[in-house]
Amino acid sequence: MTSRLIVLSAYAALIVIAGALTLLGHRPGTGLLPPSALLRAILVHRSVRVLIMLFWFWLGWHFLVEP
Amino acid sequence: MHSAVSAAILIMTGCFHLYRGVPTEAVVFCVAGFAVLADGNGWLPKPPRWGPPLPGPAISVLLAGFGAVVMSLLQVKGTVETVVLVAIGATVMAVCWCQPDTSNPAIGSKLRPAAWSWTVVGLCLCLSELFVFLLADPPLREEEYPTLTYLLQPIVDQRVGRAALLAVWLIAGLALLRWSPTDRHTKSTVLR
Repeated sequence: MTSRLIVLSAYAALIVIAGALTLLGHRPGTGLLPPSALLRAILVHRSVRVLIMLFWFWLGWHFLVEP
Repeated sequence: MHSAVSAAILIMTGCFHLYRGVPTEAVVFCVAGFAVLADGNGWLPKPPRWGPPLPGPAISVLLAGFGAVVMSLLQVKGTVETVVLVAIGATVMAVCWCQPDTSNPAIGSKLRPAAWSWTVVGLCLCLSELFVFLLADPPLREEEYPTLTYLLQPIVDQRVGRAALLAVWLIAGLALLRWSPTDRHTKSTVLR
């Protein structure tokens, strides 16, 4: 049970950190970018587009189709 | 540099899929990795610049909601659903391959800290998921070491939860396409 709690805490911590980064990105003066602006900046490269879009597609495939 | 890093991540992911016993996904990721590497080195012909009209945020949400409801009515893991998913994936990959490579110097100073922050978060997520997967040795100890798949599967198994996740997935995909270069270079292709 302890190991399950540790794993769930790690996931929760990552969600909180991602939320904090998103909020900080929208506040002026933090030196960070909102996730959408960051994605706009990095998706200009074909290799990054293929990488991110394939991971996006895989998420749908993994949950909906994969046996 | 971008293509080498992207190719390495794709090929490593492909190897991991081979380890977890899904050779189809392993092949797809490895082929994408080698294609990215070849394109980065100029070994492939320049793709034609092509992009279909993309919906704006409001229409994306409506389209995704409609698509999610329709797809959630299909037989789970059935042939039709598989064909629809493959068609979506093939179209999206073709669009993102044909979009041009451009540069975006306007937000350069803020890009590095944001990119590093999100890279660390993403890396932590991938590594934690990898370690949990190895510890869980699915399906032996998944209750003790739950992977994200194990935690989300009960939601996917319900029609309403499945439709909600599908809608989020479709909205994210359309947003990623809209944020790619086509958006900035051909504004007229975005339907408001």
